Amino acid sequence: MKKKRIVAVILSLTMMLSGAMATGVYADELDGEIKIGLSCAITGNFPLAGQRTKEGVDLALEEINANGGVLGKKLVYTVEDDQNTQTTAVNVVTKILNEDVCAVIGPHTSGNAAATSELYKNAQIPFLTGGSSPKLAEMDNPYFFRIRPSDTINGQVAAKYAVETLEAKKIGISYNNNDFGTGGRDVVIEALEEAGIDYVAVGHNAGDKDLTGQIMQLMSENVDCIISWTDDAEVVLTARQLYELGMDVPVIASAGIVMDQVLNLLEPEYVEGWYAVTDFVSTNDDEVVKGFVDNFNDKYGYNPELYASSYYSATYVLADAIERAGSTDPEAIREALTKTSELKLPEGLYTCDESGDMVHGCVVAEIKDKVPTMIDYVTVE
Amino acid sequence: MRKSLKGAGILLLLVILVVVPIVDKNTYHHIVLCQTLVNIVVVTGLNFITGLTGQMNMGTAGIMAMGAYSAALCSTKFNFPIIVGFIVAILMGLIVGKGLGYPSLRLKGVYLSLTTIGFSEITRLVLTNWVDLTGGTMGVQNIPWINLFGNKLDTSFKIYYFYLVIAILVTIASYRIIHSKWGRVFKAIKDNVEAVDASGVDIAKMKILAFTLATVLGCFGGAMYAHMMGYINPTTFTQDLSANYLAMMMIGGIGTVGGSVLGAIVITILPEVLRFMENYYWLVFSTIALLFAIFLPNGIVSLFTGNKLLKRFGRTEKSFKGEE
Repeated sequence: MKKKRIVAVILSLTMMLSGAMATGVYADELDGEIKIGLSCAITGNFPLAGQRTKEGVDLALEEINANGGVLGKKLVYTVEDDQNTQTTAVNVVTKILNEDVCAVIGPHTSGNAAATSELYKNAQIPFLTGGSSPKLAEMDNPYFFRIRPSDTINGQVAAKYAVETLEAKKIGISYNNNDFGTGGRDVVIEALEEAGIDYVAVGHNAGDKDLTGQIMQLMSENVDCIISWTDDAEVVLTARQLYELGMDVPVIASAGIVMDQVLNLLEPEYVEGWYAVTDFVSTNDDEVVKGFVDNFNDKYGYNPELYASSYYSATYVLADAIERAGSTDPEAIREALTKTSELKLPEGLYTCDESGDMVHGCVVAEIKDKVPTMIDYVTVE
Repeated sequence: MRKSLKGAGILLLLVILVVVPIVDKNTYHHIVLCQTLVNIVVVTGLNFITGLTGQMNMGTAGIMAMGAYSAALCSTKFNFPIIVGFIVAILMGLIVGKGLGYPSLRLKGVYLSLTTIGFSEITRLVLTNWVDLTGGTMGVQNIPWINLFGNKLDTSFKIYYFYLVIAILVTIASYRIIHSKWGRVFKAIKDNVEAVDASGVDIAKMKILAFTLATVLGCFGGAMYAHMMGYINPTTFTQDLSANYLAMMMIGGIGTVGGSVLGAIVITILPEVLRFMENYYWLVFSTIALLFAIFLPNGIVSLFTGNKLLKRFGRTEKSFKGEE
């Protein structure tokens, strides 16, 4: 069963290579349409994320339809811009739910996923989101499915890697004092306490311009590994000041660091040899990831990142579920989504658990000359 | 004649507002209409301080957040009846109004704007970081529906009519205030503070009053928003939101109730109407807003009050002719 699916995915990827001609031919043969919704941030404060999301979904749909569609029908979507704001997300999700869709992808951020959760529950339509806050799983919404690893998993993997592979004896945790940072900190601390490893945690606030004090504290505590859990601007600052203050210990950073928009703010030597725990890196030489990266690059001319990979994978997860459900009834699709198991996609291995979480591991990457290179895929229970 | 025309216009608007949700069963349209009503309440409030009194308040988001969180926390954390939440929101508005009103006595122009922005940002940061009380960035979930005499307002269709009544009451009250002594003093403060002072009016009291009207309506609007959405988080209440309310007031028409109502309607509904343009809708919306700002400096409402329309441009044309 597992093999069959891997074969199916690889097949559909190779189908893509045969080009746009095939798309036209097969698409015409498909009888009828299956409509899904997509809510992403095309305008607002995070438009790049929305664009990559849409590109990922576009590519997946193209491949799926070129490969015979779903249940012999063409899979299509209706896309709306949620501007990454709560009010607009509620609006567009209501709009999409009015359009006779059988399942919806998005909205992306945890806050917006929480804001729209009730709407999906009331409409009894399953939705797949990439919001990574561990609290989403506590909403107790049977229609909620998460297609990315939650922050808990990233934190556990970071701690596990520091202890088991880097063999750290005393770990410094540098965290952002916001929900994301403190959430990560708590997970890491819990894992370290379980392993009986000594640690020291120092916090900073979003928007801080100087971390000398925090870094000096870590130095004086003689930590031999640092886990940095913070946002984009602050991780840049952390990297620069660690380098300037001459603190030469291995660093494991949260996902943001592997994105080009962050790396472009840094000199290569600042982050040389850093580790990152993240969903996805394009330098992975796994067959499935490689095929996806090549196809994405062929279509758009640049490498996919986390959003493209997450939502490309989400589309396949959904297509797989509809196929198994054998109908476009949302309840049947929900049922099938909960039974998703061992589905190999660029974003990881998808197995649904009882809280709707589908990905249970993440990538550890090492940054060499500003290029994050995959070194391990770590799963946690 | 004009008066009866105006009356007919308002009646027509009312009939449309009442009938549309019955004819149109689309819940998406209902929810957008509900938001419009919330925005009408907030903008009507903002109009008192910024539109009439001329004190630049850029902290509407913070004010709304205070109201929304007051109401939401009352009903979720402390299990008070929803009406208590609304009353607490109003009290919060009074407190914030007094608090923000005092600095406005000494600060002018850009410094007052900065103070209000500061207030708004501090509010947002506190709401984000006080995780135990507010739930942090994950916000407050499962805010209960309004229960009105045993009727649960659990769809946007039902909420709409309740909020419509509130919005109408707020609009009438606001109209009465503007055309009362208070309203005239507010306008006078904007035009010539020294003259008002010389006439023996207590400026301090009036400025704080204007601020309080704005914050009470702002907080009330926030509470309405919270109970309509059922979920709030701090990222909603950013500076963008404050700017959006200013835009509603200015595009609709500064200093008039009609302007506030029209502005709220246009700025809330227009982007949703333009969605068919897909990737370009926000560009088109912004362009339209800009054109309104340039060609209707007195707001959309000046289209209906007649004489002020394009006056500025008419005059320029004449002066050009004179030069020839």
